[in-house]
Amino acid sequence: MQKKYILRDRCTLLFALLIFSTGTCSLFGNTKDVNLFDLAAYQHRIKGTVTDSNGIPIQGVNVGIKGSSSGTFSDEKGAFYLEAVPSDVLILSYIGFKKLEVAVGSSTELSLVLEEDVTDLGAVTVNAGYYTVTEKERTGSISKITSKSIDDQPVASPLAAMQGQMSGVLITQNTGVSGGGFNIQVRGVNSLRADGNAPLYIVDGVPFSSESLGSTSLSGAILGGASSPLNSINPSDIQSIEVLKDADATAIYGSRGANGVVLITTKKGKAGKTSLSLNTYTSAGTLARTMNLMDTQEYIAMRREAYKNDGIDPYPSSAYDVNGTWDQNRYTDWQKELSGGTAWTTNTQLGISGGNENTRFLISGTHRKETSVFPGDNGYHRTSVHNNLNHRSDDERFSMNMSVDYAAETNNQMFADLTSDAMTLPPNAPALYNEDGSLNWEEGTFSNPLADMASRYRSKTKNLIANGLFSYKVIPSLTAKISTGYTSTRLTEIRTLPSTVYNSAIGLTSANSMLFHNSGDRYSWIVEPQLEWNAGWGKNTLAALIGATFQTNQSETLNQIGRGFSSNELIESLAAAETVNVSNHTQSEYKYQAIYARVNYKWDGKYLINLTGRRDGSSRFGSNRRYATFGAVGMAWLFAREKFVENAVPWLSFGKVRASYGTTGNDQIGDYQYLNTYSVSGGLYDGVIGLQPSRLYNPDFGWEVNKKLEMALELGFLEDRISLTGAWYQNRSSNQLVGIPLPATTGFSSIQANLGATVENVGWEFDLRTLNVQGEGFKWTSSLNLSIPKNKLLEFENLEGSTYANQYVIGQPVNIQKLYHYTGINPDTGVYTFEDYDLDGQVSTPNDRQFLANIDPDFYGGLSNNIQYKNWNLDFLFQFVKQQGRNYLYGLKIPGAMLNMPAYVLDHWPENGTEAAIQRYTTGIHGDARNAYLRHGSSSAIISDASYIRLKNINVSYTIPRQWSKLFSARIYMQGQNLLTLTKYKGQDPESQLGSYIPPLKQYALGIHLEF
Amino acid sequence: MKYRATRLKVLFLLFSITMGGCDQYTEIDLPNDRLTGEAVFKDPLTAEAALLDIYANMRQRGMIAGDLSGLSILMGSYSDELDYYGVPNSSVDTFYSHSIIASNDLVATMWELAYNQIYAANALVEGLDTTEINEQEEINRIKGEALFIRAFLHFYLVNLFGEIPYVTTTAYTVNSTIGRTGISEVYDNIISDLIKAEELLPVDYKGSFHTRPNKMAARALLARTYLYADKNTEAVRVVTSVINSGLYPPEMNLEKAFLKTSSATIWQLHSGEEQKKTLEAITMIPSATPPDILSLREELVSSFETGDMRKQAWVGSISDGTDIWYYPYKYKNENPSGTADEYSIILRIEELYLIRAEAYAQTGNLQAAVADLNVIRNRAGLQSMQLSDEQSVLNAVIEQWRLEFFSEMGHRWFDLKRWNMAGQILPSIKPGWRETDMLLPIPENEIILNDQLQPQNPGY
Repeated sequence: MQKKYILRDRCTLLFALLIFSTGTCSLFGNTKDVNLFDLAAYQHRIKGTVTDSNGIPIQGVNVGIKGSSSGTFSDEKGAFYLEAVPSDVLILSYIGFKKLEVAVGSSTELSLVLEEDVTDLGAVTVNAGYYTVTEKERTGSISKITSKSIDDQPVASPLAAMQGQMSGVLITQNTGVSGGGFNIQVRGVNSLRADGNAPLYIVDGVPFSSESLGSTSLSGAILGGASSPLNSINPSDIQSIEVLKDADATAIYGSRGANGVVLITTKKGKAGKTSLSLNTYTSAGTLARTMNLMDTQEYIAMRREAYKNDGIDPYPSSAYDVNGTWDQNRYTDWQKELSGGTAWTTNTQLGISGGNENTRFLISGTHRKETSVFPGDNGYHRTSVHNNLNHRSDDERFSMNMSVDYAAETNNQMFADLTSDAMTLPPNAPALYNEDGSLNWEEGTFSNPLADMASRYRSKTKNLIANGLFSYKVIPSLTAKISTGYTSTRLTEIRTLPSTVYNSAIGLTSANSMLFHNSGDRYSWIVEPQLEWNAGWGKNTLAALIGATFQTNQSETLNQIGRGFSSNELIESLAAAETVNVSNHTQSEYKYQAIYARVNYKWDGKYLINLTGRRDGSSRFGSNRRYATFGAVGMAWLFAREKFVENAVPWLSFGKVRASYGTTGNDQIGDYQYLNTYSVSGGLYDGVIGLQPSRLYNPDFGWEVNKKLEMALELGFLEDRISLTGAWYQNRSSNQLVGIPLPATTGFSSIQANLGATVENVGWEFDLRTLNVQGEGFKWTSSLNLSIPKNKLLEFENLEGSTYANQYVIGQPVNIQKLYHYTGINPDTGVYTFEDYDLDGQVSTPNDRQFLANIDPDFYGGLSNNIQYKNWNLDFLFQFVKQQGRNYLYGLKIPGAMLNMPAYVLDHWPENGTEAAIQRYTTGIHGDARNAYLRHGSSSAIISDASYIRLKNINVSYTIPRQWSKLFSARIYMQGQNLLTLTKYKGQDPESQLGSYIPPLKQYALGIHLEF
Repeated sequence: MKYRATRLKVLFLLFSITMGGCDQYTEIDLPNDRLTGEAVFKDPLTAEAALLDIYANMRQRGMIAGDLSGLSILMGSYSDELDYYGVPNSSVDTFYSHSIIASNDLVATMWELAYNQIYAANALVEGLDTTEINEQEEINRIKGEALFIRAFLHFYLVNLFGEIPYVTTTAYTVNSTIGRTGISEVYDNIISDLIKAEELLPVDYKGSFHTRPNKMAARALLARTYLYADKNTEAVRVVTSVINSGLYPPEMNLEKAFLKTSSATIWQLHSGEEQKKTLEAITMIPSATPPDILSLREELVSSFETGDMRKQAWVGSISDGTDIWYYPYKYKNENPSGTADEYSIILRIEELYLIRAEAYAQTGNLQAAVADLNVIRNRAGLQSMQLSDEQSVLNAVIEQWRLEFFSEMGHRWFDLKRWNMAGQILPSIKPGWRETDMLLPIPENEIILNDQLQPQNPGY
């Protein structure tokens, strides 16, 4: 075979020489259809191998011939075969690597090395929802993370993976318990409604409701809120997450874009040999930080001093800790005992991917199991399946992409988090168990925290997201698309309250047991037809699209309470309850339609203008306010492409200024709010369930309007080895849709209406990416993001006269805390003192709560580094936040009561004088001290520095050299999460700042990734 | 090329059809847990459900409820009936210690819930004015009950807060700037509403165990209003019509006086689920020593004459071996898994005897007054009294009000207030007592939100 080619080549060469000699070489300049002689004779088969700079073969590299549609992909050995003529130029492209162009020439065997691309923005495309743009030519503000940094983290939720990685996106974790939620803010708080600040989530083109179907009354004590639907999305199925931030990027989402848009794109199949991939890791998680609490000696001393201060002698019969009932030499580290366990996580993903140029598929299943740091049998399981199929017709006119994601979660936790028990149980409290293994109630003197273990929170969630995108090129410049999607979420959760949580001596039986049952069901579908048109003439490029959206959501929740069971064994069955009550049964429907459009014009690759707009109709508004139009304009000038700039500053490899302005809206107000309705109240009277007026109704309220302005400068230096983006934004939310307070004589406390209030978010965002070192087998890149947000209430109609008067201050952030001003300890009485602002001789609410504390972050960001050396890879991410926050004094129980305290409380009056942190100890009966304590808990004393730098993630991996095994490739990795926190914060955790839930865990993971 | 043009045409046609054909797309149906206001008043059953919800709300929280937010506990603590042991400086404690401030949340709760319930009642009255239901009897009854509720709630509001807005519409534009109405005018409005209610309501009870106000309930409340408004002759007349109806023989077995089956009950609040206990029992019966919430003041307990069977039947006691505490034990169903045969009684015939006794005494008809008084005394197992001077008759009536209605809906406080006795009795037992404590403060937020409610009651 080889010989034959060589022979033919020789003949060709001869032939060519002959032609040259006759002077008709001009023929070679002509195109192939000049049929002077058969050029096929020139075509020869070439074999190529593609490797990365470490010599590792790359599979799936797209190899094409310039100016032709033929091409192929490299196989698992990095090899490809192609027919080509010597004048052909091969183009090799693969995501994450620089595009390579090679002339074929006469060689038949090519050994090609693709250079990894960390800096070339041109190759990177960004998903903007309805369209994609290249990183270099985008006019909007979009942050992105890819599977590479998501896969580095052993986390359960996509939001956890985003933490610290994106400028302008602030994410905090509510609890370290599996299945808990996150708080996310894209460029600050826009709406005065606490539940009106969530971004819009779009998974593969399908809007995904982040609103929980769960009930806080069932899960609040353990999860710190309702269960989060986003936990149904398996992070390792995600290819990329883009967050759209400015008007240019979000206006096309119209009434839903005010709080930013989070686009989640799942993984797709790779062409080439069918490959099997197995990725599994195990991690061990423990509390990242514990509080330093009093030991028994210190505790007993505090208690005795409190009784002495209160003049109580002898100790009351209920003071078991100091009156001799309990052993005063006993010591238990309750944090270790109650929340000091290890939470084990195993995550295993098995996937098959393959296909050819036309059709590719990916099927992947993941199972995740997490236990908890609390004692007992607690666990979270998630089984998720991700399927993707895409196809393109031979003539490339028709293409489709379908993906189906299904996840089943079960969560089984204790009803309540034991953290506050661990913090407050007296250190000399008795043992948890009797010698026979039963719970110890210490003859009724000890309310055993483990009794709560019998009270369970269990949930089951099933979530389906399916979408299909079909597109057809009607003519080369016009493509018709239709995107369809369906989501379905089902949730069942229960909370049990068996009689055994109480001391059996009280005599309660299973007839007193209770079951709280909640089930929720939501489905939505969406259809979005779309036309895309592209044209170019001369230096002009025009892209336009127009589309429509039809979307319907329906949801239903049912809350039931079962009371009285014949046996506690049957407590999870509603059917076994003596009485069952329906406490709530709601249904709601939401319909939404829109027309959207985009026009993008580019001149000479230098000047860009991008117009986007959307006209929305939503069933959440009354008929005369149902429709609204939103739009934005974005512009960019790639000035570094100008000749004069190129000449003046040759080291500037990239330069762009961009600006955008536009409006978006917010329709997160719940359904049916504009109607005069009666709703089922759940109140039972004489056998009839009541109907109550739902609210004062206002058919005329409209959308909240958010006007966004942004200006940014993007620079690349030294061939983009350094790239820097600086952006300034200003978002103003007006027409605030809130309950306008009314006097109770109207029957209600408020009416839903658009209030003349404006909230402004202004800020700076910086992103810096550098390629620090690149050498033989060694590369080090860094990336830093920094956000400096500022939130301000610009105006608020009649603030003084409203119930919001004690909550907001014009000119201050909406999260401002109005507090008493703590002025130290009175040297005579030993109690806290506060500033009497209104000089009326009393320190009282609201007049004396004039101290303003800002608990918004001053700045936050992340610094990530990637270091590669041969087969070794090291990534680490530091997250940092500069902020004031609530310290341990917030929610502290009264110092001196029968509850353990942080060791900080030892610093008290009179021992440490008037500069002490804590006033005189009291058991709670000293009136002045008690009142002062209550005020202290809402005074300036509870606010202090809560800044922190956290080693959020570290990942070390080693890829086994290819030559060791021909059959498979393998990567072994170690990951750590929240390993180190540097902070001066006085309290348990500066991120969550709450003492009653466990903070995010510290995790160590070990895993292996195999590909066959 | 031709194909291409056709393709384009078809495409644009399809596109414009999908875009244009959906004007009504965003119209949605109501879910089945909601009805529009109009629909509620198209069917007597839904109108009835809207009415019953008001009772369910009254029972749950606010002035009428038997828990810590209700008059029984709050005004019992405020006057000389109860000792409070709960959280020091809590909102309830400020009632006990007479240190209420205008931002007190329980004061606000009473006010807010009362006006919320009044709104619901007004919505019924308005809705039934324009209803298409043609079952006139049903309309009359529901409307009568709604008017009764409106009068009933305003009665308590005026007695707690003094001059108050009398709200008769659902229009928030009117109600958000409504001013305060003089006390006698409030009484006139109450009387007028009750007379209308009395006309509309039937004598027969709807539902089970007297849980819905009927004509007699309207009369009973009317009698009380006349008494409070110092219209004694009218009070006597109305009471007589109720007593003479013979529908409510006094319950002679005191142990059974608070059962839901008691014949003396004119109106009581249904407990909801059949196994549910009254909030009164749950709140008032202590589970530990010393009681964690409240006890009856010793002075009240020792005021029962020897042989007064009410002490035996209605006063409970608990002891830790050395000390003994007493508590109201009118409602006895407290064990969560035990039987439930009690509802919360609001109006009972014994009150009408005392209303008439007091009204007779005020108008100088002492003999008739003593006769009514003795009905109550005899029922308690006490001897009839022979009294001839007006003051001792009045004193005896006052004492019977106290012993018969202790811990019920703030009766004692309203009596102390009506007889101007609060200033004599309370200062010695309430160090925080001030003359201005006769009225509660208008909730602070309400004044902020509605200027027309100025001025605040004196002392706050």
